Amino acid sequence: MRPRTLPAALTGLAAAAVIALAWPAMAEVVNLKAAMNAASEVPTNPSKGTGTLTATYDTASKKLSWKGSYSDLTGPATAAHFHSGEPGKNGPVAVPIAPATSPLEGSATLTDAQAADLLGGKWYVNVHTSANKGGEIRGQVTK
Amino acid sequence: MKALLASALGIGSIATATFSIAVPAGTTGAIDWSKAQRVEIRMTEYELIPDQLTLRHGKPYRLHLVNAGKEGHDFTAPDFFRSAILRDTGAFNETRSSVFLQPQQTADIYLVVQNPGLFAPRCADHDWAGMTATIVVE
Repeated sequence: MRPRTLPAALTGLAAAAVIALAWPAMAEVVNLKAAMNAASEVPTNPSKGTGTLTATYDTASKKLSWKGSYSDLTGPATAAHFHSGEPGKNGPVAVPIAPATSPLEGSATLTDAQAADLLGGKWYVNVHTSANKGGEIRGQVTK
Repeated sequence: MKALLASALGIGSIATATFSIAVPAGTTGAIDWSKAQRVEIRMTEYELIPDQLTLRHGKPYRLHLVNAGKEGHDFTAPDFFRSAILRDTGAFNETRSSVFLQPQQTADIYLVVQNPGLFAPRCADHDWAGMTATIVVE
């Protein structure tokens, strides 16, 4: 390597460092998904219902937007929610989904703590019916 | 209404006039929490028991929340809690609007409601199934 190329190399390293340091603060749209079924509910139930949900979370606006649908429930949906909770555990309602009728569509602005849980895989989505008031189908929201 | 409260408190009668304690707005230091009156609220599938309650503003209470059910339930009352001085908020969610309990869990909420009002606590997960209540603060 010829000596006079060193400044150029250092400049390149500095630029890379700047980009690396700035990276965490850059806006990002995170794609999320969930597959809902009765086997994922806690406790489980014998419903044949299934559903899917796709969502995006914008780290700049902190806006969660979702679309979803379900079918073959035991009856009309009575409510649907995003909950905070890990797989196999029930947790509190984080964001209500209203109306709960399929197809689902909506958005909400999250707090930083909510976003951390969501992106950490600690949210689930579920749909309630009269026959399964605790929840008929459920799916963990993952990237 | 008073009969319902009396039942919840486990006492035969209520002399509400004798319960009033002056509390400076927005502070906890002047409140003698040892005098907080215990009021039990049970959560089960799918009821809040009692579903009607009368409290006195300016008086310290210890709301003893019990999840006697088999599912997770919450006691969500944003306006009610916002109008109250809370001794501590460890049992609350991030926005201090709700207390979630797993089955058989309990929580004690010490509070003083500062002004009269009508409030509608509910379980956010099962309000559509009838888990709602009314609190009158006199």
